[in-house]
Amino acid sequence: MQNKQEAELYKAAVLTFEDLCLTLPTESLDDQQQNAVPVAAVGLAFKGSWSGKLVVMVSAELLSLLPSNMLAMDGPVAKRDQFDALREVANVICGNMLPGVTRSDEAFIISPPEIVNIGETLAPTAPKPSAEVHIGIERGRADLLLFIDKASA
Amino acid sequence: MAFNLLIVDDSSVMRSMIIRILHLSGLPLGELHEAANGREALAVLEKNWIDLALVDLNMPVMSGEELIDRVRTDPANKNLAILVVSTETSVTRIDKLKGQGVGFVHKPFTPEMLRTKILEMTGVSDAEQTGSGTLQGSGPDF
Repeated sequence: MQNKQEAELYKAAVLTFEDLCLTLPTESLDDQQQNAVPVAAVGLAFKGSWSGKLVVMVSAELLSLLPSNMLAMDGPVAKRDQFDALREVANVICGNMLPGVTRSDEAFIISPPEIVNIGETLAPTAPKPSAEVHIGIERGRADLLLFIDKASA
Repeated sequence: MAFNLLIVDDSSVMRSMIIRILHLSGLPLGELHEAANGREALAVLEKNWIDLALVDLNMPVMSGEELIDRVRTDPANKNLAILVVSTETSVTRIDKLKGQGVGFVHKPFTPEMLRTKILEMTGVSDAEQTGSGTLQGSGPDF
């Protein structure tokens, strides 16, 4: 972990993937996880004493695994539920990360998560994240990117 | 006595998870209503008797806080039992909510945490529950 933001982001992500999604996340990615490609991403903005955006990207394996576990379902999950689950995961991660970083009683305004374009997010000319965390879960991976607004940094 | 419940959260997956926990909890359940935001919740409250509302805070259209403010000033529903289910950690904000007579459960929660809080708020004892009163397969967290 390079900095406090990454540490808190990782901690919040692990808590959420374990408790909410019933998975066993790992910090290091094996070969299969390394090669997993993100297929879906959601982003949510937050505003407070510092502002920014959190983007959560997942590979195909996780896009279906997360709602299956959350809903205790076998069998295919509707696309609508896949993205709903991903949005909720991002929401819970963000809500748990922010107080860890600020270490204060501050209340943040968190916007509803929205689907974001992965290509645009990862484009070479796109803004670089202030912190990023990569998590392996079963055969897939989740990548969390934290962008901080320069004006509020 | 069966309890009529209202689950208010903009995530349909979260609402389904909560409903699943409710079914596993042993609490005698009557009608289960859902709403995706505060405005829809008010519409449900206008037409249905609700014993307990489980409410998220961060929702579009109308937030959980605004919903709670409105309910607490509505003579017909001002005494509604409300349990906030949220990622909120601000002590100031949580204390303000508790000052309005609401309970609080932090996301992510375990089924047992949610069940305990719901039983606490409904005043249902273990002896009064249907079934065994323990969550079947209660090991995993939600």
